[in-house]
Amino acid sequence: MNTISNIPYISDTFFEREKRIWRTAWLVAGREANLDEAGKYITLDLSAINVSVFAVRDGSGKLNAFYNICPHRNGRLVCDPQGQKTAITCRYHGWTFQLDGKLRGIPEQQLFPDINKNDHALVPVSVDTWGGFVFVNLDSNPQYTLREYMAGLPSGLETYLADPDWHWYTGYQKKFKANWKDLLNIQHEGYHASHVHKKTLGMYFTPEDCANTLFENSPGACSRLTVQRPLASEDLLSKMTVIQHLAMNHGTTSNWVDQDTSVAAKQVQDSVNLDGSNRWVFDCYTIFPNLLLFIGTDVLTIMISWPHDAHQAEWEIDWFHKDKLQNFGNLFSREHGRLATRNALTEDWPVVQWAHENMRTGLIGKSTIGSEMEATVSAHYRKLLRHLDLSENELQDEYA
Amino acid sequence: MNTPDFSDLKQFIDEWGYADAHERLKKRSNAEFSDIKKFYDAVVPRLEEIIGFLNQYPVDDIPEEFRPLAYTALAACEVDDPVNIWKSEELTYQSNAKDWRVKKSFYDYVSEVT
Repeated sequence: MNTISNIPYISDTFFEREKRIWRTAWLVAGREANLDEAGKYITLDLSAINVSVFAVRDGSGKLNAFYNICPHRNGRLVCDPQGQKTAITCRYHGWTFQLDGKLRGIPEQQLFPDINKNDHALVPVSVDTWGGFVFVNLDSNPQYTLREYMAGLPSGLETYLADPDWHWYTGYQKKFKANWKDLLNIQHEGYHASHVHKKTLGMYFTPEDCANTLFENSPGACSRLTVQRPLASEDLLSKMTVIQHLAMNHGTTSNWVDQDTSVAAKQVQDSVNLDGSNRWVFDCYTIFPNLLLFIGTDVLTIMISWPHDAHQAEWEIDWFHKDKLQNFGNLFSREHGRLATRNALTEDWPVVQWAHENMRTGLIGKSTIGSEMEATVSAHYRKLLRHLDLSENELQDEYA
Repeated sequence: MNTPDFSDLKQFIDEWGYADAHERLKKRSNAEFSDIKKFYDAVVPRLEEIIGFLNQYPVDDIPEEFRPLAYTALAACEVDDPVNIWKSEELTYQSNAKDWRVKKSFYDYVSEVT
């Protein structure tokens, strides 16, 4: 058991200091599979710091990323979330840039008689890939390479996630009245699940069912939460509904599937279900600052929490699947699994918003963290302070 | 495979067979619990037959005339928890998912910063 301060979750002044994170950490921007041809691009808008960037594949196959700002008069270059272009043309006055960022063309160039085009290239942003994900870092000289940032993760996980067969299925977005870290903290701990999700998951999870591994020495990898179907739930098979039975019998994605979950681990060694449990459901990785990867056999659920201010955050959830649907029964099972997850998630957010509201009263001032099932919460907290070069004493002295 | 007779489900297919998953959620959320129960009682006993019948087609190429039947089967997933656990059309203490914005792609993010 330990305690963490509530300051980072409610302080407006801390939120200002925290903005440094978004300028120095590796941030997930998309999937490499969506940048598989020259000219394909994706954008990432960081509204908390008013920055938009985009990543684009150039003609030589190199992946580049730039601030979404024209060096002429600061116009927006790329206005869509994704697409494909042969060149980057500013929406404001039509200055055109090559996919490697070099200035190519200026309409009515005689208006700029002394211009040196080499001085007006796009401003680059650091970009790299891991596990099929595109990450960007606004720091032009990041303290850690992306590979160093991901230190501690299982050796096969990158290969498992990089499989180009992962395809986006569906997703949601919702703004909540809570700090962006509050949204993460309910998702990567299993302690609340038995209590909050009685009417959805309906199972009692022990510490063993929600085991945590912390990556304290990694710059970016925080923790792994490994969720197993509780032993106590074995008798639930006899209480299953007709629909749950059908979902189990027709696919692999329903939470009720008593599947050979070792299959995924056999596909890529040292990737998922590291203990080879036949009760394994998923591994949830927390990647600092704001990325959660829930990794299952045929389902990859991605959650990202984006800050608005200290008291509002935007939550995104996206489902990816790898296996091709063989028939309608597979789709039925997939939908059933998705709805089971969605229904449980609907129960999380009022809890989080009430807790945030209560934290703001300042009455308690701290949160008490359980040693096993909540360890991921304090692991993220420590990573936060370390990233900000802030000690516990400095936090109290400067922001209390 | 002969086409089974699903004509007895026509009323429920007409009411619940939305192609869009979010529309199916809204239908459940806005329905009276008694209507949800009627739908459940009529469709669930036929689900295995429906799935078996639809499985003969490629999932991306189910004939137009049977797609509402497929959507109705998927709508049954929406009413499983309400009927069997919640005993209500809605969970208590929830952020209703019908109010969540459905994304059109992984990159479909709309900032609500004001």
